[in-house]
Amino acid sequence: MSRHRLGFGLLDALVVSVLVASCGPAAPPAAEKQVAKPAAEQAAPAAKEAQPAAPPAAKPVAGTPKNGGRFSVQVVDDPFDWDPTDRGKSLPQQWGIGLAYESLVGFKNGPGVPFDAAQIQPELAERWEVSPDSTVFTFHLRPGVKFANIPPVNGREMTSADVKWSFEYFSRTGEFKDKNLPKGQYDWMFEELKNIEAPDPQTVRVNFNKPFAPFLYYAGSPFIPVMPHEIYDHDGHFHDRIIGTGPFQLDVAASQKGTRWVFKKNPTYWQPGKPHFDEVVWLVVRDDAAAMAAFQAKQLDWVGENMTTNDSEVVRRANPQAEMFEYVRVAPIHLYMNTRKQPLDDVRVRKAISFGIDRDEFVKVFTGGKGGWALAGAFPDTFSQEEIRQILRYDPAESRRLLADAGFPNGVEIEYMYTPKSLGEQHVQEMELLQAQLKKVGINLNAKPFEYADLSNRRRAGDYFMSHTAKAIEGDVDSYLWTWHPTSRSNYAGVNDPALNALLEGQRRESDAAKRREIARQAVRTINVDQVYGLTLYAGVDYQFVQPWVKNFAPNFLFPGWPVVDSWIER
Amino acid sequence: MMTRLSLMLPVIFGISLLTFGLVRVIPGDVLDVMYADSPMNVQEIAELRHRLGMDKPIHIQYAEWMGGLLRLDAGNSLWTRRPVLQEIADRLPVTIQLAFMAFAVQLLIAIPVGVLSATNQDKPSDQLARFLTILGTAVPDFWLATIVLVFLASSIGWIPPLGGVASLREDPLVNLQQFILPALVLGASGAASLARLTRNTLLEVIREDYVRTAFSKGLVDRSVWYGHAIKNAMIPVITNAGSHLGFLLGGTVIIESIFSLPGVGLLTLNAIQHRDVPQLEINVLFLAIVFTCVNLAVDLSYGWLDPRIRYR
Repeated sequence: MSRHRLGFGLLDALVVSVLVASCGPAAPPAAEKQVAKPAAEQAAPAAKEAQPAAPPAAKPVAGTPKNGGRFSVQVVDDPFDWDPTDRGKSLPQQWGIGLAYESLVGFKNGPGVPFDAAQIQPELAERWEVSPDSTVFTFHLRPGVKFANIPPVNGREMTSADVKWSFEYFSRTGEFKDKNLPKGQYDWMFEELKNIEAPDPQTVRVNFNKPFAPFLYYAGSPFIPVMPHEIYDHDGHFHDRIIGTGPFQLDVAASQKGTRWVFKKNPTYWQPGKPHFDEVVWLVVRDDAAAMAAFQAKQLDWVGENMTTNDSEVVRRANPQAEMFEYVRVAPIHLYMNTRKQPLDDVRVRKAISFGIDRDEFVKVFTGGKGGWALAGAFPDTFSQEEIRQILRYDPAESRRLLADAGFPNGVEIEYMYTPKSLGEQHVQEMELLQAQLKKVGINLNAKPFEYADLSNRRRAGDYFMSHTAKAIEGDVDSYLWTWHPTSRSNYAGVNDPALNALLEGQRRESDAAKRREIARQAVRTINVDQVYGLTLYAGVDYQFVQPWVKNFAPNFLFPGWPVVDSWIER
Repeated sequence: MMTRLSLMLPVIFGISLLTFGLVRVIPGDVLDVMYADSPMNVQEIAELRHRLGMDKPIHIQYAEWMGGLLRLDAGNSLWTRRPVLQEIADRLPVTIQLAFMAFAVQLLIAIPVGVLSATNQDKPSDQLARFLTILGTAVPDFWLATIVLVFLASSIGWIPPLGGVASLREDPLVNLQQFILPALVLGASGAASLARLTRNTLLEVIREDYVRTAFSKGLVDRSVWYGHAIKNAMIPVITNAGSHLGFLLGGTVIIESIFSLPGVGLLTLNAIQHRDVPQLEINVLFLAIVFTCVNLAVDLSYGWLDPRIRYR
C-alpha cells in the first residue's frame, strides 16, 4: 500500500468521521455528474378509450443487455411482514413487494424517464377501458402470465379470478367482507367500490358506485398487487410468504435474517429475456457510514437510503466512477397545522405563517439550491415552479399585519411537535430554521420533542398544534389532495370545508383529464392560499448511487425500491 | 454456593418486575410504532390492541407472562411474531463469539500493558502506556469503528464481508474476517480502563509489607512480581473484567450495527425502538441472568486466586 493511498485513506476517514459527527447540511459543489431534472409536464392520464395491446414502451438503452450477475443493495432493517395491507412496519417490506409482485398497470422508468414522471404503461393488464363516467374499469389481462413456481402456488397461470380475489382482500369486500380482518390500509384506493367481476379468465371489471377517476393510477400501485390466494388458504395470512408474478422472488433458503435477503431471478417471468440480473441481494447495513464504506469497497452496487447532501458529497468524492442520480423529491416536507386548535383556527394566523416562511432559505440550506418550492396537495406538475412562486410569497410585513389583525399585535406562541432522533438531524434543523424565521414575524414556536410513534399518535388523535414530516403519496394527485377531506383518515388538519369538499370530490368524479387537472389546481389554491389548510416547507433532493457496471438503471418515485427489470451488470 | 445460587432468583424476579413496569412507562406501544405512518385512525388501532390483548390490566399481563416463563414459553415477539426465545437463540452465537473474542483481546492487551506500566513506573514505557490508555478511554468505540471501516475502504478497498455471518467451523477464514475487527475495536476500548486498573492495583500491592519483605529476602524481581504481587492485584481486575464480559455478552449495539453483526445488542435496540415488550422483557431478563452468572463465576474465581477465600 503506498503512503499516498494511506494518507488519503486516513484523510477520508477523518472527513467521514467529522461529517458523521456533525451531520449538518452544507452547500455541495455546483456541478454534479448526473441530474435528473423534474419533468415540465406530467404525461396525460390514460384516455377513456381502449389502450392498444403493446409490450412495455421502449426505453433508451445504454448498450446491449447482458444476463447474469448480482445486484447488491443496502437495506437498514429486516422485512417482517409481507402483507401489502400492512404498511409501516418495515420499509424493506415495500421494496420486496415491488420485486416479487406486480400490478395491473405499471409506470415507465429508466434512463430518459424523469424521476417524477407517472406515465402509465401495460403490465399484467395489456390493455384497458375506462367508462366515460369513470365508474367502470375493464382490464384485459396478458395471457400466459404465471406465478412463480414455488409451493403452494407452483407456477400456475394468473387469471382474472386472482385479480378479483386480491382486490377484494385489499378492500375487505366480497368474500372478505364478514371475515373481521383488520382494516386494509389501502382500502381507500377502492373508495365507493361496488363490486369486482371476472367474466372470463382474461377480463376483470372493477365497478364503482360513483365516478372514481384516480383508480387507473391506483391500479398501478405496488401496494395493491395481484397475489395468489394459495398463500392465504395455506397460512391464513400473507405475513410470512411472498410469491408473485414479478421478476424476482424471495429465496428463503439463501437468506439469513439480520444480514441478507436474496431475491432470485424468476425463470418463468413473462417478459422474454428479462430480468437480466441473476439475483437482487439485500445486505442489511444499518449504519450510514458503514454503507458508504461498503459501496466504496464494492460490496454494494447501490446506496441511497436517506442520503443527505453531505452524504452524497462524501460518496461522490470517494467513488468518482459511480453514477449519481440527483432528483427533487415528489413528496415535499409537509407542514401540518391543526385548524381545530387556537390560534390556528384563525385563517389570518395561518396566512401569517405562510407569509413568514422563506422557502428560498430552506432550499438553499438543505439542498444547496437544488430543491424547489412545493404546494401542499400538489404534484410537481400541478403547478410550475414559476406559478408556485407567484402563489406563495415571503412577506414578513404582511405576516405581521395579519397577526395584528388576528388580535396578536405583540406576537403569539404556538406549540410545535418534532422528533429529535427518528427522522434524523435534518428534521431537527428544519424545525430550528422554521422557528428562527417565524420568530422574526412574531410567531414563537414552542418546540417540544416527542418520539416519532408518539408524535404520529398525537397527530392522528388531533392532539397537536403544528409539526412537519415528509408526506407519503401514491401515483395520483388524489392521494395527496384527499388528505383534506373530512372522511380521510389522514385529515390531521381537521378540515371540513364544504367548498373544498366539493372540489376534492369533483376531481375524483371528473373523467376529462384537463378538467380534472383544473379542479385539482383550484383545490390546491384553496388549501395553500385562500384558507391555508396546509403548507410545505420545500421539496428536498434525494440521491442514489450505483456502481459504474450497473447499466440502464434510473430511479422513479413510483417504484418502491429499485426498478431493475431492464437493468444489467457489465463488468 | 447454594445460597448464592438461591439469591439469584429474587434478583431475577425483581428485575423482571422492574422491566415489565418500566417498559410500560414509555409512551406508546408496538402498534403505535407499527402504524405510525399508516392512515389507520385511533379507533382502528385500539381495536387491534384489543385483539392482541394489549389492553388487559397490567397485573393480568404480568401474571400471564410469568406463567408462560415458568412453562418456558416466553411468548412471541409482537413485531416479528416469532418466539422471543428463538430470536435470542438465533443471535446468541454471534454475541458469544464477539464477546469472547473482544474479552480475550481486552485481557491480552490490558494485563501485559498494566503490568509493564507498573513494573516500569515513571519510565518512558510507563508514560507511553498511560497515554495510550487515556486515549483508549477517551475515544468512543463507535468512532473508532467508523474510522477503521472508512480507512480500510478508502485505502485498500476492503471491509469485512457483508451479507451473512459465516460459520466458524465451515468457513473460519471469512468468519474471522468478519469478527476480528469488531473484536479488536471492542477489546481495545475495554482494555484501556482495565490496563489502568491493573497498573493502579499492582502499584498498591507492590507497596504492601509482604512484597517489601519478599524483596528484602532477596527474591528475584520477576518472582516477586509474578509469584506474589500480580496474583493478589488480580482480584479487583477480575471483578472489573467480569463486568466487562457481562456487558459484552449483553450485546454491544453500536459495534454490531456498524459491522452489521446481528447480535443480541441489536435485537434489544430494535425491541426498544419497536416497543416490542415481550422481546424486550426477555432480553433484559437474559442480560440479568448473564450478569448474575458472570458475577457468580467471578466470585468463585476469588477462591482460586486467594487461598484464604473458600466457599462452603
